[in-house]
Amino acid sequence: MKGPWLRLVLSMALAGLLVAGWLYLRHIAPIAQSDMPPIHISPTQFQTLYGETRLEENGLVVRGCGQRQCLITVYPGALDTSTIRYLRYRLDADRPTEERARFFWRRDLETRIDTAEIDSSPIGILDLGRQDNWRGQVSELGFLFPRGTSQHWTLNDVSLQGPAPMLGTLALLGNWSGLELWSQRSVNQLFGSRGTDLPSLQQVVLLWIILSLTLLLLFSWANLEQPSTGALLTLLLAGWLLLDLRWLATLWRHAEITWNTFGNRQEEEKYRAAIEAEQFDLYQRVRQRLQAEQPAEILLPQEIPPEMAYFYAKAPYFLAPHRVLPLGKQYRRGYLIVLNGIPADYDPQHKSLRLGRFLLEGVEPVERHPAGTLYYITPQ
Amino acid sequence: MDALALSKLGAALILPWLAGALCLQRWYPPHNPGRLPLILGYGFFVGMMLGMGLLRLGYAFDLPPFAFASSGLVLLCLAAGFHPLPDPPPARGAEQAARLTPSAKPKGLQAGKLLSILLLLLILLHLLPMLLEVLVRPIYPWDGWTTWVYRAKIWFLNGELTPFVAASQLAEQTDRLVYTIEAWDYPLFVSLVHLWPALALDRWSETLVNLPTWLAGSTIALGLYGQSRSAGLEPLPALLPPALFLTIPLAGAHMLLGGYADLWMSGFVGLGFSALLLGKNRRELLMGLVFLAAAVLVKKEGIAWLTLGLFFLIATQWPRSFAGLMLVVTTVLALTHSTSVELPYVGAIGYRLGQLLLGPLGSYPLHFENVFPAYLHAFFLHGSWNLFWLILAVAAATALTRLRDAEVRDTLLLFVSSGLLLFLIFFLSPESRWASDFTAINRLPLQIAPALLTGCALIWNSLTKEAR
Repeated sequence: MKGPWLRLVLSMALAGLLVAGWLYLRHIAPIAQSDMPPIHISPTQFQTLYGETRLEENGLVVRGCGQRQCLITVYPGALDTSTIRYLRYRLDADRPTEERARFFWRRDLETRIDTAEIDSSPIGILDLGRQDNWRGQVSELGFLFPRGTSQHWTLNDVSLQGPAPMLGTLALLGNWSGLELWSQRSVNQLFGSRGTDLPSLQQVVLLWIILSLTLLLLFSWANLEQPSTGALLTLLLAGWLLLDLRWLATLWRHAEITWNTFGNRQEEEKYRAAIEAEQFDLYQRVRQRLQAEQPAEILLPQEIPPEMAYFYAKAPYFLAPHRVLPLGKQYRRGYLIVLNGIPADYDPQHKSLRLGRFLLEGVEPVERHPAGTLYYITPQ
Repeated sequence: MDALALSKLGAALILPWLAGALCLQRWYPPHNPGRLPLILGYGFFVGMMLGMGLLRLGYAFDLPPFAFASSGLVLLCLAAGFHPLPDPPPARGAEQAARLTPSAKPKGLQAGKLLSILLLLLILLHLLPMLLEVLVRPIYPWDGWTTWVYRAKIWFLNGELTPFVAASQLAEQTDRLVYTIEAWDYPLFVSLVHLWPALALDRWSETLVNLPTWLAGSTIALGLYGQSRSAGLEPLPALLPPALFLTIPLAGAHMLLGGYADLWMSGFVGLGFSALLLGKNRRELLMGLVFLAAAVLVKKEGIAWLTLGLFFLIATQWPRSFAGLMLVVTTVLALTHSTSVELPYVGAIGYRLGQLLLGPLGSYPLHFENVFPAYLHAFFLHGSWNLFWLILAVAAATALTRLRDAEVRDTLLLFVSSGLLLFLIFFLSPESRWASDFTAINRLPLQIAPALLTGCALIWNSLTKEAR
């Protein structure tokens, strides 16, 4: 091997060791080995609060979540969270999905629960020690599964474990191999990790390449030579390729999920497989009802809770070519869609609808739907 | 979808591309090694701009728009096919090709071929899942269904280019059908592009309207390959800029979650600046300027890129005149103790009382916002760019050792001036909010990314050409 290439290999190897050492000292070594035996939770211990479950050879099968999230729970007694750092599990979905299940826990004397997203990657591990509200005594824990009727989930090998460097390493690998789901932010930025505060593969590779580069320059200058351009390019491309393998895997895993979710479906059915399925169905009903009047004018409330903003924002697109207008002083008669989830008080006796700061009179519901209601406001 | 619809869709996608490619068939010198990919890459964007222009005309004159536009494109194909432009004089690429006669071809060709095949395979492995997403997933991103694609859907369903107005003007428009969206004044091009496949199919499709966007990403790669080859790079290194572009995760996200305008901007701005960067003859410079001018019709920030392009063109083609002009401007400002000048017909240009004055483009308040932490995350720590910015930094540092090479100097000027433009927009103007909330911090740089990769190719070429 010629000098520049030998220097490149040495730089990369040495930088790799330095990065591995940093990862170990910063993220693995501080995790003291606990002597607490793992707390195993067998599938039979879970109680099903919502949804259907069935015990099978390979674990607890959860399905039939329907309109609500499935919920399975266990009451392990008072667990001291300070002794427990990791949740280990094996969760398999019957087909790739964009939905994520969640682990939840309830602390003593509290009504609310805290949750953390989990995925069905081969490395089923959740670092509870990094969750904001994993503290005090936990009296209940379990899993929440997303709404929808067709998905099956199989859960097995659930255990709670104390701190251990090996588990810390697994959590790090899980962060690197976890799938970053497409979101509305994906065209603005991609995180390149599951979004935990552990270093992402991007950060680790960046550090490795910068260190390698620095060492390569130092070795070259020590030999009174310019660094070889070929070696420089090779180094940068090696880093690129490493990160690209992750991106390529993301692309193909998503392609599989997308195909399973939307493939072989008619266009309308695609939206019925998406998160806005219910609202889409309502908007389609409204479109059909107003077919003869198109393009009609349809009003939407303006004071919308943030969690409903997405579903309202989709209304103009799904209702096209009907004109969607903001309910206000200028527009307060004609059709009005109110989605469930925003405070609205309809009084059938007086035919009035209180909607935020508006009190609308002469209002009649013309289409009721699980996702919301279409009203007609008669001109006064 | 039946065979007829499929063939109509295929024809609608190929026709503008073919028209654009035929228009450019003699644009590049015959011995230019990157001629065919250049024709195909640049031709796609030329054809789409021409096609959408014809579509717009069809609507304006109340003619059947799709039939009018496609007939116009067919005529254009025939005219360009039978009466092509005269061949331009041989350029640099020809000299390079001449140097690469069989006897002069470098050693290790077999290994090079193998690596080229692997790179092509890597590109294909990225393009395929993206195409599947486009074909199967309905319109996904926010600005798609609130703005760009929404307008196209309204136009398709109404059978006309129904106007969009500001919400405040809605009440005044009582006698005609109008719609409102927040970005009601965005240019029409991208929405027309989404309308085009629907017109071909004669039905609205929630998936297929995004096919041109996927094609746009792919043809940017062709343009980049062509530019790298015509710059003198051999086939293997010339494959790197397109491969790097297609594997930038953010570029991929825009290809597979279509509905935004930024990938089209990457085409017009990125390939436009690439042409300016490599342009050593008038045709290429003209192509660069036309592409930058076309970017104005794609998105509003096109005006900023066009202004930068003009500045770049003057500075690189007439460096002495540019230096003289800068000297005169500086002297005048120093003598008048002013930071702005009042030009006839143009208005005030410069800086006054915390405002950046840009003549007819208006004035903008300047105020420093420290968005460096956001940039650090966006460019280096998050996964949007892979190692793009690190590569760019290394390329720029390497370029400093090659300043005697004019191409390298031009490349550095592009790096610095586009960086300054981004600095002006995101650090000094109220637009910084789009950086700190991460909505535009990556999308604006994506628009110039192809040209930055061409710049890297030029630096690489400069470093290796002596060895060859």
